[in-house]
Amino acid sequence: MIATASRYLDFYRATSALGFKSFIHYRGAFFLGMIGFLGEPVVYLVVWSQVAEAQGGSVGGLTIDQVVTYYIVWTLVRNLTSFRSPLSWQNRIAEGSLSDQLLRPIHPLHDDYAGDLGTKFVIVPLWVPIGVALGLVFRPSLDLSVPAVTGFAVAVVLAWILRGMMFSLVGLAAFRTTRVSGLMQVFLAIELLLSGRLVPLSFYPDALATAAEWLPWYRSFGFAIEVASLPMTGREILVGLGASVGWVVALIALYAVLWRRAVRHYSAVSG
Amino acid sequence: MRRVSAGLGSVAALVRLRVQHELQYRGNLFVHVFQSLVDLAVGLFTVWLVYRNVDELNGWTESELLVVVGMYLMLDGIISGQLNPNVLAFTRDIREGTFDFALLAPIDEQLMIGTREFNLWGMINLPVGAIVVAVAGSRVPGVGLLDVVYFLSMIPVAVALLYSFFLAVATSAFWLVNIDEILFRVFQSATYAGRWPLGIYPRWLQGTLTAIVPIGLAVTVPSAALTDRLDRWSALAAVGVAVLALVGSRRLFRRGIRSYSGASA
Repeated sequence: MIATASRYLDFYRATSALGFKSFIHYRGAFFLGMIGFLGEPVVYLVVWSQVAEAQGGSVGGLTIDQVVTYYIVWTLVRNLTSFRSPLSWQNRIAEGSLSDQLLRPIHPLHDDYAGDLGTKFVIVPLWVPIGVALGLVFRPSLDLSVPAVTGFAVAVVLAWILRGMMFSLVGLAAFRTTRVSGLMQVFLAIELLLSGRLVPLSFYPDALATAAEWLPWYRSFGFAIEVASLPMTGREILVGLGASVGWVVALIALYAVLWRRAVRHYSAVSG
Repeated sequence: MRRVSAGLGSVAALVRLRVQHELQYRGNLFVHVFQSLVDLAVGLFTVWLVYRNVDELNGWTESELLVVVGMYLMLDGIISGQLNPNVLAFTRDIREGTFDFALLAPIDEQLMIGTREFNLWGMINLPVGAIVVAVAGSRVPGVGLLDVVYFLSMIPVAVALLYSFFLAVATSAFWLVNIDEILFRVFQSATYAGRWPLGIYPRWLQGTLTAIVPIGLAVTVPSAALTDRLDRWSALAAVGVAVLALVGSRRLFRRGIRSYSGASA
């Protein structure tokens, strides 16, 4: 048991180091991309700040300060929960490189997670100057208490694992169809609406907000942001983390079942 | 004249080829239609969310903002069907050195790299957006035939702005090589910024969405023409900016070609 865990740890250490090194090679391009990517949260921030202003300083129960803080934390969480695209499964199958991965004594999913983990060590330092600049321009009011910071750290790790599992589940469609891009776009649209990426869930009608809170998309994004940017009790944070863990376990179980079925269909397109 | 005719003939052949290629994947049509409906639902839902709280957003009524959403969808159809596939193919060619083949083709390189890819089903947002503009425009008081003509005349301006921008971003691949991440993020930003009229943003962001990522300008100009917000001087200025953008991006592209040395050798 310990020997197995140690082998996995070695694998994660080596593969994430590889991910880090290959990612840092293109750090300039990625940094420019990060700046370009700010368009989305800044647009939301501006629109909803205006709506809040027009309503006397609040919208959906959030003050303008809280809206601003939400979208600034959004930029960090969005980067930390990015994951290898489901399209990579399409490419691996089309090009036959999955055959190599299947011959290894470790599931290809570990390769994705470990490689992606390494990129986070580049992303965070690159995000810091952007976060500081946003902070100076928009003046957020962050909750830096120990429960909030600890809760945020755990929530964002669970969000990353969860989003990776959801992406990998979408990627399994590549075993049945040669193009998964359409399905991926639909998935991203659902994610946009239900994860808290478009707006905090409290902006929605109550029934929709409550339903979205129980779905995995919110646990893979919005919950982590809310822990850091909105007032939450320790109990609320713990219950939320419990729900995240529940979704991670459920999706891993679902993936295990679907993977076994999908891989039986596999035959590389190229030699 | 013969060169232009040969170029147009080649473009027609390339488009025909891509259409035939796309027709192999007819099932994708249903996926793209569904995706387009989801895009539309997201746009309508967002507008509904905003107007649940306010009657006007910086002077834009709900119907007027829906015209913007429709215009955005139309341009998104052009981006997804034409601009995006060509830009991605071009940057891949630079990275892998296969841009050499485009240089050897007997037609203008810019024409070649801008027309050889075509995602037929990706264009679905174009007619969907046109329907949204028609329905929303009919709900805006005072919109007449002249406004519609004015709107249609501004669409080439919007397309020219977008095309120039995408060409300029793609051209940076000559120097930065791996710009897929930048492109992905820029496309995404454009997606979100383009759903709202320029006027609702603070001045510094209006400047960015006009000069650096011109999706805001491209969406707003035709929408403002239809909703009687675009005076003739602003329209002329938009035409001038579009012409400058076309000329500037062309010159940048030519400069990029001069610095290209091939990666395959």
